[in-house]
Amino acid sequence: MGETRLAWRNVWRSPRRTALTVAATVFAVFLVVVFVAMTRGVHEKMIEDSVRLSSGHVLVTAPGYLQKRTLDEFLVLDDAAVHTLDTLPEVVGWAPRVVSFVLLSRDVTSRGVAVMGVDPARESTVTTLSTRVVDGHFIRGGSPHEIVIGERLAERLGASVGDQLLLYGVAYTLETAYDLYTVVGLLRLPDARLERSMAIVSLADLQEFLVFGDRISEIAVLAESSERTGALRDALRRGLAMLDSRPVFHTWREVMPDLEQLIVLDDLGFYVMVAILITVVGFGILNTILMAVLERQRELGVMLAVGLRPAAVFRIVFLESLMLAAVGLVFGLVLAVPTALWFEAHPIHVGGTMAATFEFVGMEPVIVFRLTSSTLWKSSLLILAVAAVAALYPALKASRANPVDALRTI
Amino acid sequence: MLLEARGLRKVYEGRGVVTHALDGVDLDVQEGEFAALAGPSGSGKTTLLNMLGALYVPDAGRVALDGQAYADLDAGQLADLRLHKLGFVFQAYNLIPVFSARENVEFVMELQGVETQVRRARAQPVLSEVGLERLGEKRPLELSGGQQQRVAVARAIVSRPRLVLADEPTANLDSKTAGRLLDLMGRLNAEHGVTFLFSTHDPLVMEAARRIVRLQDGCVVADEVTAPTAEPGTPEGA
Amino acid sequence: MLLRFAWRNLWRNPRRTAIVVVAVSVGIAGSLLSMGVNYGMVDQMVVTAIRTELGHIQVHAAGWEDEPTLQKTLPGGAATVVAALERDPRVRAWTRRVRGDGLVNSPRASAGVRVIGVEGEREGDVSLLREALVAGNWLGAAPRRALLGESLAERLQVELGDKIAVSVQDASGDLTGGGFRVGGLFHTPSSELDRSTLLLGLGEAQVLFALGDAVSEVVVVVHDPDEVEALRTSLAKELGPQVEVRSWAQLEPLLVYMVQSFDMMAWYLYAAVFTAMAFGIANVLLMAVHERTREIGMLRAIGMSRRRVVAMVVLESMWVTGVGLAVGMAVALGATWLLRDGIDLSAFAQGLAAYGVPPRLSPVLRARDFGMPLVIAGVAAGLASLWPALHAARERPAEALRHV
Repeated sequence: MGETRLAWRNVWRSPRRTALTVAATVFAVFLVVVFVAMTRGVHEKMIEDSVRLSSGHVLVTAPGYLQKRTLDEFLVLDDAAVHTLDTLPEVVGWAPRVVSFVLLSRDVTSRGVAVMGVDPARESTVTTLSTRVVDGHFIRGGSPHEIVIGERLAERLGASVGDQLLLYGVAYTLETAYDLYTVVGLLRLPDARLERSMAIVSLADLQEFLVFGDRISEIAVLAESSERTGALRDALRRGLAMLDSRPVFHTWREVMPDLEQLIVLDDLGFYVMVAILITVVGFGILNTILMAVLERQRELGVMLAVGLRPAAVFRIVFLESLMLAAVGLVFGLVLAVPTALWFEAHPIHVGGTMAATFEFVGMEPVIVFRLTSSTLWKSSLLILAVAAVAALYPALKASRANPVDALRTI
Repeated sequence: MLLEARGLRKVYEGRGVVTHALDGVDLDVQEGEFAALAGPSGSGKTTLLNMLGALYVPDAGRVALDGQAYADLDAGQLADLRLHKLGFVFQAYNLIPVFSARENVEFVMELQGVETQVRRARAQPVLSEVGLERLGEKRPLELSGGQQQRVAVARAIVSRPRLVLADEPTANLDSKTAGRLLDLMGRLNAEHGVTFLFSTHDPLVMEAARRIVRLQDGCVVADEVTAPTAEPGTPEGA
Repeated sequence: MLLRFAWRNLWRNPRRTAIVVVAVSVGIAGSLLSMGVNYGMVDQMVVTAIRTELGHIQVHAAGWEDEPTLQKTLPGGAATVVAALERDPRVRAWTRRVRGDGLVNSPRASAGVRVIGVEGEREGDVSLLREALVAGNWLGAAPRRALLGESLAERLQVELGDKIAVSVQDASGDLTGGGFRVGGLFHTPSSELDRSTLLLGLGEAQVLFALGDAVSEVVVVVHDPDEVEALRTSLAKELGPQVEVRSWAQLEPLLVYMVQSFDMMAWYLYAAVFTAMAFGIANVLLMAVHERTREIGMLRAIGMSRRRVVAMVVLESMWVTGVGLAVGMAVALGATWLLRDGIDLSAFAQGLAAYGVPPRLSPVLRARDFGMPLVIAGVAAGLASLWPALHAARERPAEALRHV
């Protein structure tokens, strides 16, 4: 179409001016794509890390457990349920647990902690806890009264591997319960708060300690990825029936609402930055196209006088703006995509005070990148949209030019 | 001798064609002269004027003003020379559009670092001299072509340069206005001894000049002192 | 003079200049406001930390920071410390606390908690715990009362007046405990605190933990936050090596780290925004200079040096950026003032509460926050003008004059 060709040629009439505007666009596209890849990667890792340290993607509990967290809200796993969990395709791993609060004490020091009774084999299918042992080993099913605690907790108690700790708590039957456990391993977690208050024993031991029978507090279930959380929950809802209990299925969002909110808040901050950047570039495009139009007053006047329709003039100017943006977009993507992919393969390891802030939020001090196709086409759409908006005023001005006035311009 | 030029040459090479813009030109200009470089376009008169004005470096030959050879000066020093010792009036684009007439006149003095009071004091009478005492605050766009050229002249002389070089100053003016401009410059020359050197092919200018150096194809073909055909101040032509 | 010249050159094409000014102002106003919100958030975190537990300065027995055990106490009610504090006019208020860990049991549930014994009257002067009371009475009115965070009470499923049992390991290592009634419920901006803290009267806590008249810490607040470090050093010197005197920044260095990481984020934000802007400025300047080729030729001819021409163009860039900065900063300040009652972020209440930030957040901008964007903008404007400026001065006057 003649208009397209004209628009394209017009773009290159002032190569220097076009080059500068394109450069600004390239810069913006590059930054946006690479930083979206970064925030996406970081958030996904935050979710994965949290999910694989605590609740899994879906947490199955008795009604009211999340709010009250007492032993009264329990589940009973029957063979049918076990079979379902083992065979549902959406379930990548599942782990039954008992959770209670006890006083952990060594000599004259004690701490109130949340103790978790786990099935070691099953637990590893959901969480990475067993891989985070830095001293000693994780709970093994066979030996009784083993306990694994966070490294920081051990420091506070002045305990090390091989020491004995007293567990003191209240059983399901409301009697006091106390018993001695041997520290067999220490855990190091990215979340300092968690590490300071985590103690793990075997499921069987805790059930016995609390006189819980074969009841459990919760089941953590892992999906293939956080995107498949919804699908997992639906599958569990449909497929998992537990005769003596009425299980409720919580997604990680419901279990850790602060995590999701923080991610959304972080995203918001980022979107604001993108908005500012794109606006600045948009003004640059506006100026460029406007100047181009004003320089061509006479020429436009001639075209209109000769019979070209105002709508066509509008389209030509509009197209120029889009093409300008498109060139910047293409070059920007050419630079950004390999960069983001390279970072995806080589995450950045953070050190110093930066690392401390990561750990404060419970993250490993690594910046992970993840580039998805949705990022690419969303950024493209955004740039083109901005160019379109920026073109409106100049295009309108060009199409409204009065041929006589324009021709009079010397 | 105010200005001495010897053996000036300028050669342009473009696409295998060699053009001699100036082919061995000698010229002397004395103080108080009112002279014109005349010739058809392509004769080299503008090139010569630019060389005398330290705007072009010759391929061969030398120029000296008050004995100071241009070749001995670097670009910065030449700019200084133009600033302090020379005045320029061009055919167009003489003035800075964002400054008023008075500010334009004061501009060169500002570049020279003259204090505000002194600048003011010197600019006003010069504006009167060129007949624009009440138009000082107007911007160039608000003045007519002839008035703009007068401001250019005022600016060219206000810092008392040794020589004023005018390149086709009347080219964009109608003959009546051109005549008045020439009268002004003639008066400045007669009453204040300002040395003028024009480059022109305007017959009006040539009539007003007291010496005409004719150029053709880069060489001086004639150098005549003409008898003044009119008293300074009398309009020539219609 | 060049300043005046550059300024007037800007307005030769008012629309073009105006667009650049708007772009610069949007860039800076947006960036300043985002950073304002971030700094507001950190400010809140610091304020919450200081006002809930940290205070400005804390005094403990030596070695407490490394090993915060129950046994590391300040004997005799920390009398020497108190005396030193009473003498110093910089101190606004002080209070003493006992700190320990325990298990709290209700008929229906149990939870691990921190047990803090506080001095009823003094604590109110130092922390906001007293104001945070949402139900019941503060300590001191009746004996054997405990105050719980609202979420803790929910977890234990107790209400005002209910009985709870607190089990602890006392200073000599014996497992002991006591019964208390819920005397009040509090709600602070920190969800962490509300979920895990039990308050008792100082005396009753000392009895519970078998500490005699010893206390775990003395918490101090000052009149002027800028004096914290000075006071800390003088106290440390005065009180000698048996005690540790720490400022809030030393006790929670993470808060300081957060400010530092926001500063770094600000740097990147401004660099990105101003780089994008620099392209636009360079473009406009290039166009402007190009339009004035003949005029510049004339200027060089009459004696304006190359350097001055370059300076003029650079000044044009500085002017346009300066105007944009002024407008943008004014907008940012205006918006900060308009939002001084806070932005409603209740949709994120839980996330924020995890870090001690209340759901209404006001952006905070201080003088020092304007320094960085000013410098970066200046550098960007300067760099943006280089190419146009050099381009303007490159041609020889004679050629420029002949330009078509």
